[in-house]
Amino acid sequence: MYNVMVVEDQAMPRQLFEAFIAMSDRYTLVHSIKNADMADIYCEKTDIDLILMDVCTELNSSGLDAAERIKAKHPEIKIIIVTSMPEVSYLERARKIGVDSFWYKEVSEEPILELMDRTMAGERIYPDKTPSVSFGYIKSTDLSEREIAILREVIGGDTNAQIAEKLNMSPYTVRDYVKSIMEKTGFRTRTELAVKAREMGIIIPERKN
Amino acid sequence: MMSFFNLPEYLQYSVVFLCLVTLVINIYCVVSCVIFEAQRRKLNLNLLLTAFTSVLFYLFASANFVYRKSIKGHSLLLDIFSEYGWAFMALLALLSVLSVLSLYLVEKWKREHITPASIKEGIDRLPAGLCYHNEKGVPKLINHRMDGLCRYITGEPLFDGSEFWRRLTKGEVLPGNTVVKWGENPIITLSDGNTVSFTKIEREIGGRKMYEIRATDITKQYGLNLELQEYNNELRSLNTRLQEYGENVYDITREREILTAKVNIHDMLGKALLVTKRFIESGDESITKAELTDMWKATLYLFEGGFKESSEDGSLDELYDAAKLMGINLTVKGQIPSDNRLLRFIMSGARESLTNAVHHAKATELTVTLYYEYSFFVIEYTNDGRRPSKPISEGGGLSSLRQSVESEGGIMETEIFPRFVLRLKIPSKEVSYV
Repeated sequence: MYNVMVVEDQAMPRQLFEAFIAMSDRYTLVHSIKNADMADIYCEKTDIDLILMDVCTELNSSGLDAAERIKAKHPEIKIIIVTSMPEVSYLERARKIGVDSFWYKEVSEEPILELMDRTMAGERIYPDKTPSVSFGYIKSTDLSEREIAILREVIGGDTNAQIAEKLNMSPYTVRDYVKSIMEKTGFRTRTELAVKAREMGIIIPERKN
Repeated sequence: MMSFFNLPEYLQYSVVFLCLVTLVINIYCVVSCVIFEAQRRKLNLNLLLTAFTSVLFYLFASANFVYRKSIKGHSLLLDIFSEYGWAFMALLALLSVLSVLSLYLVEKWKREHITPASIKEGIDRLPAGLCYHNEKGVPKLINHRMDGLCRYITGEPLFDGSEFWRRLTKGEVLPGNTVVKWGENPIITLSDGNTVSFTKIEREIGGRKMYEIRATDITKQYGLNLELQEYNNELRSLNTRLQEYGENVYDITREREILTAKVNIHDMLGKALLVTKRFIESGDESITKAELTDMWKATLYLFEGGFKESSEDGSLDELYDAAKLMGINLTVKGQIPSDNRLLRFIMSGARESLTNAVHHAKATELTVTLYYEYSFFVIEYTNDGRRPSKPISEGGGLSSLRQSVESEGGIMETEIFPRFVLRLKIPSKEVSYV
């Protein structure tokens, strides 16, 4: 039997995970918490083998930050990141941190229990790419890395000049990129572009603390 | 020999008139040479011509006058003119030709050289205002535009450059004009709607210190700048709204997640019902009783406790649980804010304090004190364990906490005497309590 901790702030998805664990005779639920900030504390005194970790948890605490702290102190604990956000940077960051597996709540076809079994068997399972969601006239995956980087700053509420300074580009180039993204997606204003990108979860701004 | 007096009367007058015209030309050339600082040779030549022509004019005019009025006692003058009148006329003709030639040369020189007058004429045509004055404020050169601006702004002609500049920099202008900016580079919107920017530069001209006041019409740029400012204000407000919106985006995403979970639960329930129906009706042997039981167990689990959404202080419950798990008795003093931003800091600080309390201080009590001090919301963590013997060396956790506090414009302090204190001071926009 493996001891599992669920870190998920929303009751319904959390209880769904708990139900899957209850269905299985290979896993025991030891903790089910809502705030990722507390996850590493729970790992201090409890023997945990596997964590199902959401990315955006209560008080906007980051599951990826928590995973990084836990992996630094307890590399033996397996972590599966579970998210519904198609944010491109999550996959990359999870790999960098050393997270064992990554599961998209809405689109991953593999049942979560099967993913848990394979992860505990030592496999690292990652989706090939982030889920593609409609973004105006295009798909989110049609955006280039540079476009994503600029869009991320646009969402942060920065002006072209500020974005240019951050990304070491000319303000005119930034303006052209923003214009090009708007033309491709069909969004008429910068605000509409930013709001849709956030709503669709294509880009989730990092919280400050 | 031809006598001057034998000529027809109109010719005599014509000769006197020609002499007068030649004299006027000569005087004009002399004045031009003096004013425009022409070459000395030209000045000397013209002075000589003027002298000769003056004498000749005097002689012709006098002889004519004496002859006409038959004044006695001037027989010698009349004799000379009767005898040598042709010679005087030839001399006049020569002087006239030379004078016209001199006039041509002087005008040509004026056209080909920059003179003070041409400089004045040039700066008068400038669209910008220009004034040069000395240290005492005495204007040495002012163009029409600057003089006009001075009248517009002060109601007086420009008599004193220093005083004009003082009034500009102090914003002392006639009513109707608007001071956009005073100080070193004043900008004034005139009552006619034009906006003018003034600058003053110290220059050294011919070894003397001079001051240049320059006025530039920036009406168009100023208008564009106002438009830009308006646009930037709109953009700032838009960006603020976007940032506020960012705070809510997680809620929107969670709504989607809940919806997906509902669909999954619906599917699970539907599947359990279908499989049970098949098991009962057709006795499907591919399904074991144990599998069926597990299926229902999971489905019923979802309905057992209902779906309790997280409460606002849910995280604090977890904080108490985590502390208990670590063997720490947690006490929170003060009012818990409802602002999620502040709650996040309370939790982040508590995580570090719990870890330090257990691993380093070997404490059993952790106290979190919350209070409001001026414009800061203060979170203070203390424990009953061993206090550090030397100043804290901030490791990964504390330094990352400091970074996040400071990025919000806050302050993080640590004290080791008389006991260990971790204090976070977070700027509070508007603190509201649960």
